[in-house]
Amino acid sequence: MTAARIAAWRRTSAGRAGVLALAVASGLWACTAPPAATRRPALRVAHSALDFDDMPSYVANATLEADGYQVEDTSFALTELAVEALARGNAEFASGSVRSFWVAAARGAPVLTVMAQVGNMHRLVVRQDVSGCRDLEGRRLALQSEGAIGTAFVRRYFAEACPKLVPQTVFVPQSENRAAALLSGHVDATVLELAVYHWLDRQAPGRFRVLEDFSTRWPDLIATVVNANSDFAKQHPAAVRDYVRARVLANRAVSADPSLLVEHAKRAFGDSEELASVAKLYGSLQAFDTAGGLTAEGIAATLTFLQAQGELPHSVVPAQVADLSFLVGALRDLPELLPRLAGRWPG
Amino acid sequence: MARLNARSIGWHAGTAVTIGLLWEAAARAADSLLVPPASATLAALWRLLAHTEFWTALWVSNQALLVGLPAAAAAGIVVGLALGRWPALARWCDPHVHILLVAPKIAFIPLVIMALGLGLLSRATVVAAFAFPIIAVTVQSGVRSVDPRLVDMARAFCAREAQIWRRVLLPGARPAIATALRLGLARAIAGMVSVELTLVAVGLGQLVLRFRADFDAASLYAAVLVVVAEAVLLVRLATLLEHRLGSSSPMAVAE
Repeated sequence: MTAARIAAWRRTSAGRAGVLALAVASGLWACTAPPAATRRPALRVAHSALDFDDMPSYVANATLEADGYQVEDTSFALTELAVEALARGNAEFASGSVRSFWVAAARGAPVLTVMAQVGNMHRLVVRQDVSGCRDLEGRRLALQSEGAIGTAFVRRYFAEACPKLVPQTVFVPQSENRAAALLSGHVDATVLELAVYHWLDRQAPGRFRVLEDFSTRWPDLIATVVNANSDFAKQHPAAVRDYVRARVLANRAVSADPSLLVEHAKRAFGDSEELASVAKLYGSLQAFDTAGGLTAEGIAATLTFLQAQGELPHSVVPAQVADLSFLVGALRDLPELLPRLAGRWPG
Repeated sequence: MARLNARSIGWHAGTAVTIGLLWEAAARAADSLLVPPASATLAALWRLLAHTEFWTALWVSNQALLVGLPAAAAAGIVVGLALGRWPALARWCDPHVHILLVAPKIAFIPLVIMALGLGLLSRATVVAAFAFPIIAVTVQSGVRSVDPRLVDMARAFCAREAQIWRRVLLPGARPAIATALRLGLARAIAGMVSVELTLVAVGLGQLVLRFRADFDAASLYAAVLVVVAEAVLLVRLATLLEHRLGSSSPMAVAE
């Protein structure tokens, strides 16, 4: 074979390979994309607030939209409004505090937890001179509000660690206000989400520390959840499974590459130095569970915890508040889908 | 007059019943977690009124109003009178007062916490911050609306500044001061509730947050109804005061 013929053969082979690759890609697309006649339901996603915990949801939108879903996100100022939107069918999915969604489910609202949103990010943050819970005797402790999951964590912690302790409790609903109170010395301890603590630590390095990390104290407890409208889930189980699968894939993607979180957070909050370090922190903690974070043990432990704290009636059973089948189905789908979906992540 | 009052009461009662019926129908149709039927709300109100915890919460909430509103009224009236009387001062201060009027006060709450802590003082300060600008601006308009010819006439009769204030400006601004207090009161009540929902959850704000978290919408609206009833009552009293003060004219006093 002459050099010219070899070169011509190579060109032809490359061309054939290109055509073949295109054909395979088109075939794969045809397999994964819905036929024109198949109508995917629109997915409206309600967020309790626009914060870092919601970023995988935005990452998941790319997969869902490639699968033919139209996704519309709405951020509410209150978890209760997201719950209401879900319960009334104004949203198909909603995420936020487990307590809010389960209290609503216990009241008969058609809401069902389908996966965990993010790991337990609540921390009991104290001034540096507080070495243990006994040091908080008579000192000021800022809690969120009655009915907040963070308040339940702190109360349980004191009941277990320092049962006779009586700190002066003051309720400060917003985390940035609790951080401001801690920073200005008006309180000695408070419950904060990890991202807020991180901000606080950058404002006043070394002045505060985490006295208790609730995620390690009670590793089975689920703090925040992703929920589906149960009527929608009955009518469109495949869509719920697709959504859960997309969210799990998003969790895997952001865990592998925290810069994805930063990219989406920049779009949501604007550029800031803080974002990269918080994303790194979330990545290092594997905050977004790559298996969806919802287990039968976790549901049972969280239910028992909330019931013991008087937050939920004892009559509530796991089937009333959560359904694992969508997550189990989505996880079963993943090994075969991963190669096809791998190229779809933005960035 | 008695017939008119009876008709007026009947009209108001009829309106309340109509609104109640519409509310009941809408809530039942909506079947919402956060919108309870009127009947459930009234039942919850009855239960709430029987609890000492509720009355304690009402008292705690009103402490901020009792401290914050008089402070805002005193400062607002003084500033408003001064701005109305001296245009040079107004030119310098007007932008700042108007910024206070339109600024979203909730955004400044972390600063209030940093400066004043989490006690009654900070709550009263936020209540005052809600009420002060509207009082100052309304009083300023009232002073400006006094006929300048009356001031000129007083000057022509060799009235001193103190006499101009006592005989012309204050009587002339009196209706505006009463209006300012009424508007300030409404703003202060809004501030009283806002501060408890965002700054420090005490009093009625704490109850509202708990009811909201428990999706106990009937109790939540019952607590809100109490705040509304208090606001209506106080604003009504302020309106009566406004009418009494408004009946005197600066001309009559000047004469």
